Amino acid sequence: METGAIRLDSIVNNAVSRTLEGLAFMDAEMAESPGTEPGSPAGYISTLDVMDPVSGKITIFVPDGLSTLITGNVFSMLEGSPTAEMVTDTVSELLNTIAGIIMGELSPASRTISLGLPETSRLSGEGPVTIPSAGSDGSSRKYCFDVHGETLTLSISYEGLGDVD
Amino acid sequence: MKRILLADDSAMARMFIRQCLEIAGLDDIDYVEVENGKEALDAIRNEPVDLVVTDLTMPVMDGTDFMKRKAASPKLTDLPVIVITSANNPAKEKELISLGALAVLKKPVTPALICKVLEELAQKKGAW
Repeated sequence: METGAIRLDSIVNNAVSRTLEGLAFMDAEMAESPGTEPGSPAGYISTLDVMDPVSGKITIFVPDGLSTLITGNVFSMLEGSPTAEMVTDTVSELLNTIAGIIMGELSPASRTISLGLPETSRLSGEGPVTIPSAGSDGSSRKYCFDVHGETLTLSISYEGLGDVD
Repeated sequence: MKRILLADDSAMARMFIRQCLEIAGLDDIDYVEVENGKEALDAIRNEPVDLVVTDLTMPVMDGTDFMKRKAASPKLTDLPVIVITSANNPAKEKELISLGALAVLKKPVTPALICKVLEELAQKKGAW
């Protein structure tokens, strides 16, 4: 029988893969989380609150190059670069979709899901990227995905997710 | 020409759904795009549309509230609505169907799923 942590890993992996494939026709492969990141790339960070049936937060960080590539794919852009507004919108919708898949798998069928609106901003890369890492009590987990040679990072922190088991 | 209302706070999501509808075979459609449930209600009260495709999680007025208000209006009760949302599960789907949703689809949606729902709509309402 899978442990709760392994099941969550599988759910998150499926959510990110399905979303990137479905929206942007791209593959995502779960990668080992880097131990110490020497620098912080510039990119887009997006966070949303999970309200029901558990309380939590899901965050993704997508570096600039990958954000632009994903957005270009989604908008089928053959020429030119997407605007910052388009990229922000796309990253927000990525998170919204990923979070919905994750919570749909974790939540009991009898309980409705309630998600907050994503809040997305661009980080310039001049400071550390604040994405929660896995805590020793298991209340948050961090994942890294290799997408087209760049790293998409996702973290999920929660309370009351006992149903994961 | 048929009119379809798309309600989603994400321009990207609206564009994506429009592409899926076109791939599913809907052409020569006049699309009306809004960013939340209140704008959707205002739009359908002012001018008739043939189909609404709406998200759930939106600012100002979310999709569930839109569905409740639509269900409470005798003039709008029969307007077909497809809900496309990330926040779907069996409980939510049951609630939305009871409020009159034709179908509840989970993001990311595909043209094949949309095609299937449109076929069901055609059986109920006539050809699209």
